[in-house]
Amino acid sequence: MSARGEAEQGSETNVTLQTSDDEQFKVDRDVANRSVLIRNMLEDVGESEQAIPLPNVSANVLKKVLEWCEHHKKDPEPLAEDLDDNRRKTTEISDWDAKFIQVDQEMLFEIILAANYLDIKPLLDVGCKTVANMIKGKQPEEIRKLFNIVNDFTPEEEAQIKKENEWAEDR
Amino acid sequence: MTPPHLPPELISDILDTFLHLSPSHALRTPNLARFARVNRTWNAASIPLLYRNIYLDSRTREGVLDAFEANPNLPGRVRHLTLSGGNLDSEGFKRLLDVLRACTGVTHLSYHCFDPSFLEDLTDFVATTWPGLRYLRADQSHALYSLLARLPDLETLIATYIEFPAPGVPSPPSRISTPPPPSSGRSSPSPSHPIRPTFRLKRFDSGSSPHPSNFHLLTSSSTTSLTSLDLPISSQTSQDLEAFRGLRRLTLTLAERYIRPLPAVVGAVGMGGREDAHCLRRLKRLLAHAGRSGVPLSTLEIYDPPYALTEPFKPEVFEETDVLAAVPKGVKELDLATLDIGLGYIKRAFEREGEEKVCEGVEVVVLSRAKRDEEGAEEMRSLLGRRGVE
Repeated sequence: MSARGEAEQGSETNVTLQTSDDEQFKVDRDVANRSVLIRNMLEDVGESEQAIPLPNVSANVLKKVLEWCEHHKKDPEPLAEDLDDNRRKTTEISDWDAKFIQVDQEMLFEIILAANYLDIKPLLDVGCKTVANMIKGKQPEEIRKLFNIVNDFTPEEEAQIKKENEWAEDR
Repeated sequence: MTPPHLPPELISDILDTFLHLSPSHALRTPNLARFARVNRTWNAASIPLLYRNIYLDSRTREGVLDAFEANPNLPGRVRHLTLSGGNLDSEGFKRLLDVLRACTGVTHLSYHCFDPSFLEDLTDFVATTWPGLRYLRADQSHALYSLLARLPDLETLIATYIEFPAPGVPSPPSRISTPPPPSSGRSSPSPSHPIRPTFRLKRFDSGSSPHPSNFHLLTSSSTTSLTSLDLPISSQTSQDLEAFRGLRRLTLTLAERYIRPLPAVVGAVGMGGREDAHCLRRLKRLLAHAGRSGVPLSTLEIYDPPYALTEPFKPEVFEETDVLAAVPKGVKELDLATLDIGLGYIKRAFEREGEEKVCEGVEVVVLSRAKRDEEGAEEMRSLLGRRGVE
């Protein structure tokens, strides 16, 4: 892929991003390139003055995401084949990322959604790790509250699931 | 403030991440079982993870088997299965096999602590139910060999002891590719002569020392595929690794520790008593051969089993036999963490130059933590540092 070479070439150029609430952000191309979605769009349209619309991301979230991209713009590109492996091996969140992700829960979830939409795997990973640590040891009711979701099981179903998996909970 | 809803694929991502952050099976299962009760989305994401990797011991056995019987969707989800035979009577054993028959997707199997009287039926069951097994960790000696011949897809084999069929009986040239159908619930009689397995192992931990011809028989189909081998070595048996063209990782276990010293009167060479120096000379010869014939070893571990009840190898014996001189050139990582090897010796060996130079390719040497404060640690470290060794 030539993505990397182009990124270096175009690192001087700016890219304009437009959020769902119609704010515009001007960023370095290598910052924007952290998002695979944006990188692919830029490769598609080539050099353009036009703003790239991001209808799924609001300004306050994009600001935060760009802060992460700015800090990580020099990170080496993981090779496609060891992307999965790498993600698995590095279980530690770096100090900077840990501080970065200390946000309220609404923002945390917004960052995860944005990272997923913009296809920024390492940021998605930081978000998932943070949530994974939050749910450890929690009861179902606490998780429902945390995720703002309702129990959609019938009482019978719930009783059956509980009974079926009792061997795993019972210790 | 209400957090936004996360779509199901992100819930799956989060639970996947949770698994990678909790390597302990015992910690994962109760959490996954609780996640399964949150709602339908969470249930769909966590049930496959909960049942993918199942550990059946005396405590969980009944519960898991009940669940498998109650919900026919569950057994098919199991990929990795660990069976402990603790507190299992013959009725329980029968039920175990009956229910596990539905677990058709198992690729990784470990089992231990089964009553010897169950083993023949168990191995036959394994070969019949999971002929596509890729990973096997078996704490069994009897009837294991005939099972191996029936597992053509096996890639990893970890065995504590393999009882080989009687030597001297020639193996038939034909390969058996399909397992013979079981005649009934009882096991079929094991073949009277050794059959050469057809699997292509990538990793093999052989446990006890197989006789060289047995070792050859067992691994002859895997010479090009094997990348990782754990092999015992003693003064009484040695192996030849020349044929293993892909072997990168080798652990040599000093099995001499298991040989009882003979009474001093009899302690003559070749009489079968423990002879550490002889064992190390064999080890050197094995490495020299492997080096010369181009076995691409990059990681070498010499392992002195700390759980053996006998005295560990003495530091002097490593220096007397000059073990380090035989480390093949390609080895980058040398793991000596379990050895009581003299730091002075390591320093002197690494100091040699020219023709005498040892461990040419070594970049990392792993030593026991206890060695850190031993006399000469500083000198050794600075010397290794000069040679670019960590």
